[in-house]
Amino acid sequence: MDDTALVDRLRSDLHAERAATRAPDGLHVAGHRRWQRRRARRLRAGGALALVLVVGGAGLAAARVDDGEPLRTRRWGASAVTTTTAPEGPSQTPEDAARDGVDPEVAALPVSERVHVDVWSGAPPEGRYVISEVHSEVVLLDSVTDAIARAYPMDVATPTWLHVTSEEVFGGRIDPGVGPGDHVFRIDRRTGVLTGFLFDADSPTPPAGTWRPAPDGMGVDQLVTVGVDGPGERAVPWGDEIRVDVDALRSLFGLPPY
Amino acid sequence: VEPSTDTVPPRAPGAAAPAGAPAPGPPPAPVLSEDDQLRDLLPDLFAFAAAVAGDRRLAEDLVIEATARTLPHLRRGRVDDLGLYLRRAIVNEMTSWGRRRQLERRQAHHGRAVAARDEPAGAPGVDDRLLLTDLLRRLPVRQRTVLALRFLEDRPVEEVADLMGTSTGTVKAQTSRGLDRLRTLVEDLDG
Repeated sequence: MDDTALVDRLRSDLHAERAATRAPDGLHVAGHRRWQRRRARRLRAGGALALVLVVGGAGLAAARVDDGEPLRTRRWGASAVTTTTAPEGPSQTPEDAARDGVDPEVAALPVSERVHVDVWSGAPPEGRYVISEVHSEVVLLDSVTDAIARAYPMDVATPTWLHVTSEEVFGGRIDPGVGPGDHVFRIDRRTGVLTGFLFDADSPTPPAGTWRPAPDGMGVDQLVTVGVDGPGERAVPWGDEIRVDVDALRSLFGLPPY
Repeated sequence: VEPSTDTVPPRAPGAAAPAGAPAPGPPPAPVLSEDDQLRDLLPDLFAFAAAVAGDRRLAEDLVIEATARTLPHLRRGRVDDLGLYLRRAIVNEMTSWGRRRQLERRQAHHGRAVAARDEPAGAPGVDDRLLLTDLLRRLPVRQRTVLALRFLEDRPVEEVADLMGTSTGTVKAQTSRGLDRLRTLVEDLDG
């Protein structure tokens, strides 16, 4: 059979079969329904995800410091959110600036100009703790308004990590072999008071009573480890992975372990 | 009928044409709804799917799936030629791994059933001449698709290549191989 005859026969058979074949009614309706079902599933999946996020957030908000549960470390994960929604206008009142030891000119700036969220702690109930390099400070942004609730000027050096537990926020800087400025600090979440230890004798003299030199012979690397495989809990880092020994930190600040 | 995208609102009955308006021509083609467009395309689309799939139930599912995949794009105005778009969706679906597996399973089942039924009948006679469409099912999917597009839908090589996302050379080669294979199958059965 040559090509022409074969093609003629194939064409004839195909057309005959088409003429004899009746498309079932409503296939396009079935297609429409299938699409609608998939769409509904996707919407439900999106809704479920949103619900999980909302419930999870509410659960965290409900987990307050004084909830009566046994003390334990509780960490609020960091997020990629790097902006604030605070209203324009002075970021702090003169009174609040004086309380926190903030330069009045800095306090007069709006939050958008004063704070860049380089590292933030996640969302414990009182707000989010943020490291901002612009004026080298740690600030607590209100959980609703993003206004500055407290500010902690970091004259020693800009911190590079944060770690939130049930009672406190630990933070600090570790630059092994790089230079001065290694420190750790603790913010009491109940009182908002910051205390810290300096691991470098050459650091500028910090306000008396707030910062102290680290005990002799203690290195910051005994408390904080750079790297993924180190011991302890993962902190929120600005750069390399950071792990912190929470109980050792608490011991440094004269507190019992969790 | 090509659907019109003209959205000019109709003039009220008896209202005069606005000054400077062009002379009235033939009435514009009616705007077909999405439902009407799909319904008009269904017979040919199903025949194409049946030829490519070689299985009626699979063809139904192919058309449904192609419709489900095309609708969101149609709603967003991203479909220029709905018939072509749907056929492309069918071809893509047929050449996907999962569909090929489904088809192989169905064909294996179908082949066993046909063999069991036809065994005592012997060679096909004049009245029950073996249709080439039956033999078409024994070809690889892409060869079958090329032959269906060329000889059922009578599309030129260039259009087939565009629809299948391949070159005209590949289409010609697949056509040639498909016809050779069909010829061999016919000769085996006739001989």
